[in-house]
Amino acid sequence: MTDTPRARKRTPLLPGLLVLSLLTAGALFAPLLAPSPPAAQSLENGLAAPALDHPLGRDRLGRDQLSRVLYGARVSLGIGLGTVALSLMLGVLLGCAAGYLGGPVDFFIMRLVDVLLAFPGLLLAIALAAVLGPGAGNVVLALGLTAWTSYARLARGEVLSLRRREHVLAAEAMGLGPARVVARHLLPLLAAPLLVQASFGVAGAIVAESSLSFLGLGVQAPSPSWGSMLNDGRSFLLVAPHLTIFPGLAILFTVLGLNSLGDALRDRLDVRFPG
Amino acid sequence: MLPYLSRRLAVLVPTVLGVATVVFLLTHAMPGDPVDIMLGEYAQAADREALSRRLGLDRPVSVQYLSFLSGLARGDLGRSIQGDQPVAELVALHAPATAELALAALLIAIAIALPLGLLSAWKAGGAIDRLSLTGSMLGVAVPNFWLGPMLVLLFSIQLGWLPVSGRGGAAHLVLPALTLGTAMAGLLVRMTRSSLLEVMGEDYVRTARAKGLGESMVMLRHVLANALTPLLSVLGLQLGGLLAGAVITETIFAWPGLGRLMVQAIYSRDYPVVQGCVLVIAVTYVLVNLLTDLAYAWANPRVNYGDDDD
Amino acid sequence: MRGILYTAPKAPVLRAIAGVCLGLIGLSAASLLLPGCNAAPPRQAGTLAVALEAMPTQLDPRLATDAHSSRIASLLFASLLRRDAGGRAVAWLASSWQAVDPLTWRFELRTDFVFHDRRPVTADDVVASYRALMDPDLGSPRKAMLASVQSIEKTGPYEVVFRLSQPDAAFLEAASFAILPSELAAERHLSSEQLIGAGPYRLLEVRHGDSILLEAHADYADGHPPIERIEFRVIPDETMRALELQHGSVDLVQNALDPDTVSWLKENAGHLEIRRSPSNSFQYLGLNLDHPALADKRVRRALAMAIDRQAIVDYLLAGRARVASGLLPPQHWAHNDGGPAIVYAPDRAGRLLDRAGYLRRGPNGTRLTLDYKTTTQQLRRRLAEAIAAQLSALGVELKLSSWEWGTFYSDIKKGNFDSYSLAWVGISDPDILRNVFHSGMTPPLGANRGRFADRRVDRLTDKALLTETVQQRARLYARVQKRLAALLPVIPLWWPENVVVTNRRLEGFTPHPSGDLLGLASAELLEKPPPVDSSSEGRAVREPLR
Repeated sequence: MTDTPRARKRTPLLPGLLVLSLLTAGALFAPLLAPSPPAAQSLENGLAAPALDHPLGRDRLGRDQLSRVLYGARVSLGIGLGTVALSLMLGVLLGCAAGYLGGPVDFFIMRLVDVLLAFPGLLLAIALAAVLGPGAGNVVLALGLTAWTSYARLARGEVLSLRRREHVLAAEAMGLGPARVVARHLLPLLAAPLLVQASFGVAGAIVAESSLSFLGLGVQAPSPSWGSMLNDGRSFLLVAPHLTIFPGLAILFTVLGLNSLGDALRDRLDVRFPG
Repeated sequence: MLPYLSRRLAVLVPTVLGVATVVFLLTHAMPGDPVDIMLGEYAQAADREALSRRLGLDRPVSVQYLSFLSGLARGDLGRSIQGDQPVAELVALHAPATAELALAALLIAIAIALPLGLLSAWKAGGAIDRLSLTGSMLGVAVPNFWLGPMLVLLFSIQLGWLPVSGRGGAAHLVLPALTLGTAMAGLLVRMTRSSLLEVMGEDYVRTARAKGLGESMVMLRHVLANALTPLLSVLGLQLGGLLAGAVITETIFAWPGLGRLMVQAIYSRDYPVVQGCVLVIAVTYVLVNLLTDLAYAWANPRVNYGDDDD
Repeated sequence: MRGILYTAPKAPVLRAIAGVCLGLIGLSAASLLLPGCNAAPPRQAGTLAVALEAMPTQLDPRLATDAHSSRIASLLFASLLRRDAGGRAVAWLASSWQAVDPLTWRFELRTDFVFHDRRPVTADDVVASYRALMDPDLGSPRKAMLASVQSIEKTGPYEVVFRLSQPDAAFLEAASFAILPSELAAERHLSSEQLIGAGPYRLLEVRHGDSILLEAHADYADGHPPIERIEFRVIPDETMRALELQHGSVDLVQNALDPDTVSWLKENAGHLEIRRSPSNSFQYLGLNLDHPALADKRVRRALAMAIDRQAIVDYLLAGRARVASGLLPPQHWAHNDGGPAIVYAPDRAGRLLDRAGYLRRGPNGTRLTLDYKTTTQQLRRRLAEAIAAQLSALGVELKLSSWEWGTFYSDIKKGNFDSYSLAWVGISDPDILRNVFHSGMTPPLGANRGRFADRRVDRLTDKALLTETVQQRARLYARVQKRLAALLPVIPLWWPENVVVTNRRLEGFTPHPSGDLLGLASAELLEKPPPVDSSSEGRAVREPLR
């Protein structure tokens, strides 16, 4: 790093880590923290405003919002992590193959990337979701199958530039097969930028889930996810704004935290890549 | 330049073919029959078959695919199943609306992001920097379907300055473009800032400072131009995200654009319309990317045309 | 991308940036200025703006099937007959009609009806219109409803005769089809300029995906409509429809707002008025009788007894529905709510399930698991969740899944469901009972999606189709409804009200139970709203409804 009088300060790691741990704690300990079962309805008390007994208010069916936000953390985080895991695996596999093997493999995979990128983003997920059907698992599939391109490009770019490094050439000279070379000698160098991309990816998946919910696809009732809570609350924007504010804040803090984490990691791991 | 250009153009064909194939497969894989949806509950089997035959939907899928491709080669996008209009006509009717919205959103995003990004990079680490970073993430994380009605509540209902929804004159464009543009502004702020910071740390900038140039001159002549050019190619990529966000914004604001047309066509299983829209958007996207990459390459002649092609 | 080096800057670089920016600005300016790009000129005074949830897919009345299209079509096209609030046939283009014998119907036409292009409506037009509908090459969905018609002939300049191949008491349903000019009736494809009818309004402009503009037909036989123009605007988002009403840029929204939003508008918008009246809709829970548990009528009755319909109506529908005591709505001429009533009694329901052999597995365990499919519409999903919670107290686990319409519809027709909820909308002839409950009417022939089969119901509904007098038909359908109330192939939920939110400037509009907007032809749009009276929610049809 060059040092100039205006060396940029590194993004603090603490806020991101804090948010992530709060989130994980909330998700893991939801059954203990939630004041009521998330599915417990009480029609007479629908749309109750936030009060002491129900700090985040109640939805139209009288369910406690705080409990649903906590349980929703499980679903949303699960979707975020699941999507990233799937797209990471796919992306790294294809990206490394493209970068390492080159030639027609590279051509074909890059064309695939181009095709996927050319699709208006949400549309592919909509169509996939319509084909696969509703449910959290299918949301992960639909989002994962469309999000792997950034990881693939990243992996490919890194592999291309690291390909000619000495230790790689040495490994090849020793007769190690391509899979081994990539796994042992290239992947570890990829870990840092991939991790950074992944933390942005989790945030992106959580936001994408709420877009899918808007179109009526995604997590099924009565399972709460922040995205579906946001969508359900949409009918009550005028009538009971607390129904959108709290899931929205949850998503907001998560996205802020994860992005901050990603930035902090990038600063510390000395990763340089655009975006 | 020329071999680069011709290589990029050559790659366009398989990409478009790929998009056409994927969209064809996906739409036909969706359960549900457009003929059923059109005829409704009480149609008799004979009528259903007749309509199916007339629309060419009773042919095997492979035949329909080939017919679709051959139509494409002729430039014929087919006819809508629902209303029998040529798809090209439908797309031409709706595309200007989306273009208008996307461009306005882009302009707003740039207008917000460039100055903010500049300020943040200049006073990196300061209060403005932190605020703008938070603001940018807000822009990305706040959903369009919430922001839209909120803006309407303020500007249309409370203040009465702007209309609620629909497409019309410039006044109708403001709120939807603002809604769509804020997410993109969020992304652009961060990219502008990081790009500027990278350039500001480069040797030649230090050299310029060492030569005694004033700070603002340094920024203007040396930093800005170099920092902004990578953004060009990013803008092309972001167009995809813009079109995705446009679907939701168009639905909210009753904006008669391609995004809404597409979503409605998906629901009514109007295959030719979905295929046509996706193809037009995909080709536009690929062309815009090509143009921005070319602009970038022209602006920065040391670009390596060699191995990688993105 | 990593292979890119930064160089010393060049002035041309700045020019490049400037060029791109100017290009963008230029493009957007051009798109704003291009003719035809700027839709929707400002609203003229005296135009009534109506918000629709979705664009009608097809304005050609011969081909349209969805509700939105029929709303607009009924303003553009006149038909031989129309229906009153009780579902009884009322004269329109036809001045009188009679069944000369069970196989022959004669209609005399009024002589003062005139198409939008000033041509008078004659028997030729009627004959041409019906012949086109019956033509297999046109592919009209209406053809199925004309299955019993053998021929139609003109017997005078203003008289037509239909000959049927078999007696069909529901034949008058077909008398509500749009009449088009004879030279256009047989055209395969009609452009919007060619959609000419004899209704109170004519089609002025269709902006695809956006709006439809209608203009009053000066020579309309029942009088020049006071409202000069009606604009139908497509606004897919429910919150925005409410905001448009509040802003005053939309004057009428019918059955397209959530119940809570309507209540909110009532509280917060003094210039709006809520009109509630009975509708011809019936919301029900459909069951698949091929499922071993659902084949047992005790199970079906237990499910019915465990749903607190009144609570759902009170809280989720803001009271704007009536718990259904039968199938056909109360104002319908063939309504009957005899037979065993459904009471909300979850304990008795539990005991009934015990007797049927579905015991709880463990304390508070599950007796039975069923799947429940719904569409993606918000209100429907909320209803599903409320019903699921109530049934889970009974020990019946409902697995909910919501699907977008195309997939949902396809699954329902294929019998790929255990339970679902939908509504009959715009009920007019009671022959719908045959279409839904006759054992021979499983899809694709009819709407018996639950695969219900009962010989008595088959016999009665077949007979009612061949019966002539209204009183006899009513008696037969009464027996059908009583039998269905005992067997419960579907669980009746409620009859939703017709809820219309209007700007108070709209005077004299009477909503129709079918959702038809023909009432607009005799309504007026004032310059300013009249002074406020005591309540802004009223205009309910006088009680009792029967």
